Amino acid sequence: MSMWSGVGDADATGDKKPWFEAGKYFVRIDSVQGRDGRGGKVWFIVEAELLEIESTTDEDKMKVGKVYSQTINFSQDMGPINVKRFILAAMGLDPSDSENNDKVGEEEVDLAVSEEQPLAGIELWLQCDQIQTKSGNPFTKYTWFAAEGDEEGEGDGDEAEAS
Amino acid sequence: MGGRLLDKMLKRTGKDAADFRSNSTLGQAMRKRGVPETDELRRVAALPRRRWEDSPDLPFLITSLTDWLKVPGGTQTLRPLQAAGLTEVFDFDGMFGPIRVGNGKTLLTRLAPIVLEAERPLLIVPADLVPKTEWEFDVLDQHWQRHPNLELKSSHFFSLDANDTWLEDHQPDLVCIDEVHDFRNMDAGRTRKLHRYLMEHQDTVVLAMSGTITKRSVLDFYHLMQWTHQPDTIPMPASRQETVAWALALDAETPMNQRMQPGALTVFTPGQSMPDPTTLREGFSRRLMESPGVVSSLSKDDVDASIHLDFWTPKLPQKIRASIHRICTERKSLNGDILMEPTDVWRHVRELCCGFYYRWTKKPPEEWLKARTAWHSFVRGVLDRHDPKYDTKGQVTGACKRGELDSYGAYEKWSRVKDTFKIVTKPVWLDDAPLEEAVSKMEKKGSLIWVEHQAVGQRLAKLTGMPYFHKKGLYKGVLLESLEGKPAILSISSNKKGRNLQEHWDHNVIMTPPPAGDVWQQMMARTHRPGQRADAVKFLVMLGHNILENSMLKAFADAEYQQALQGDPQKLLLADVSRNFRIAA
Repeated sequence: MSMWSGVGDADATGDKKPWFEAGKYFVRIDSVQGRDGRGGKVWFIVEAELLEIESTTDEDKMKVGKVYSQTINFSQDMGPINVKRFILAAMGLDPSDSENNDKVGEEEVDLAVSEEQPLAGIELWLQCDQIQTKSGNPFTKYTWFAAEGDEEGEGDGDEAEAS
Repeated sequence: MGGRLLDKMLKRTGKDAADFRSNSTLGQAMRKRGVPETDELRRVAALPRRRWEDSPDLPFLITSLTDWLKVPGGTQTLRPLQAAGLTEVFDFDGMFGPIRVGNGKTLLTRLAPIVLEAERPLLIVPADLVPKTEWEFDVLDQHWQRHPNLELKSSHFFSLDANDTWLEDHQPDLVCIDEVHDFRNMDAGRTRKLHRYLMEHQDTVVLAMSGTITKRSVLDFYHLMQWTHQPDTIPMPASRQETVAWALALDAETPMNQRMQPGALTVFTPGQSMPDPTTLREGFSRRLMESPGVVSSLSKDDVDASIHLDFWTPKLPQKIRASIHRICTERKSLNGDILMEPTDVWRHVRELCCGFYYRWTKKPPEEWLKARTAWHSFVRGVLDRHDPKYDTKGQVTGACKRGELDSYGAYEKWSRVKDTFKIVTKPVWLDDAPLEEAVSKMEKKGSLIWVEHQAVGQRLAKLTGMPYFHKKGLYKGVLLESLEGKPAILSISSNKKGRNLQEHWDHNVIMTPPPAGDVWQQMMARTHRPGQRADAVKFLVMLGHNILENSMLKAFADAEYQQALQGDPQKLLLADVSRNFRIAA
């Protein structure tokens, strides 16, 4: 069992940040959390501070400096895929590149949501698109991608040496 | 899964595998995945490999360096390891030396400043070895050049707040460190001071040696190798974080539930994809020892620990000193018995130095005593004449028996009565002070006290409650080894052979030093043997009279003879001696 799925029986709706509206944003990751929800659901929550708005459908709601969130229902089919895409993008890797598909596993997700918060502080782009599900319900599709020149996945990166 | 991505994420946290609980999912996953392959691992694996012993230039180096560095009239020659060490420290601006006791580290530290043309060389040794180093340097003046500016300091010197600025004030350009395991703890003030200085003055050349440092965690000597090596030649990862992962896989002391799988470290054990921890350690050790800037003398059968030999003179109470004086001047025992030979005096003085003598439990018959006294007086008279035909009581007795020597009836009278009475003795304690002082020298754990006399062993056991192992090396049916480091009293004769005590003991107090070199060799080998994990095995010897000092000198002489005759290294001669017994000889 994954460490992060063992998080206590917290209410996934408590202290919730507002969602991103459709648009394109430059954000800084504030935190990444894993929570157990009611009914055995597992939630993967990304909270990010809005740094720049390239486009948005709701100028009243989306404000620079505020923190917004993406909540992924890990228990649904697309859940693990979306989590993987987010982590790959945050670490500067192209989620659409099939070669990167095997790079995110249980350990990486465990670490992402751990108290170490390795992804906190990473800045990247977020494209939110309003789509409809097959049953006709509105749904926001999140696409994360790394800021240019910020590739960490290959090579040694230029992180400060931890000693 | 992941692998390198996990490492990238970890790097952002500033943490390493050891920071994650071994029973956490992430901790278990990381350990199971094993040490990751990184650019640093590839760099270390690709470093040139060489065995200094196999260098074809070695004979030439020995000769040319000896010719250069010796003084006129000097007769010594450099050993191969010394020539190799001087060459490495010159070629690589630093040297890491896992070199065990007895391989000539002192001369290396003396000559390195000359070879490197250092301007402000510094030699650091443990505090208790400063006098011995000074003495050895004086002896070496007959054979080798000495740098005029070499500063000798103890490692303890740098622990003192008063000396906080010494390094900056003196700016040493070469730092030689013997027994560098004294600096393995990065939390210690002296280590932090030296580390700070060396990191801020990276052009300082460092020569660091210890016979025991590589037995420990790689984390213990990681920073030491940062002192001796450049970033592109150090046979360790550049980052401490990565080194922690290596340590979790390599270190013998890593608990099983925290051990990391070898992972990419199998590059050090070609042909073995899942080496056991010992094989992995040996593989890495070979990589380390064969790296440029590393000169090692270690083999797995060697004992890496140093031997420290120290002495103390007990404060003998007045009644003991008076009794010793009386025996030495009158040459009579405290029972009134005439002491015929010097060995008789020797034996009685050794007993008194411990605080006791053997008293006769029953007064002998008058006739018996008179005959014995007359015979002993006769024998002593013959021996005192220093007739070359008669050196011992046995020779005098034999001559009388054969009629070659006239004892004026003393021999005949004694022969008639000697078996009519048997002396029975019991120990009488004048003072427990010598024993109490000896016990105060012991350490709480890992300490043994060795005794010559059963009376001393029994008295110590009564005073302290410590078990006394004598007959067949047992105490109430219990084996000594089962005590696992608790202090104990050992009979020298019963325990000098066969005991493997190195696992739990490294500190020995000797009540009366045996005069025989072979006894010392056997006794020292109980704790100084392969498997000993301490950096140094210590022997603390009681003196207190020149008879005991002479015993020690004879032991040294025996050891030198044995070593010269058979080539068998004698532990007594390998020891770092805190007093100059060899000068006294």
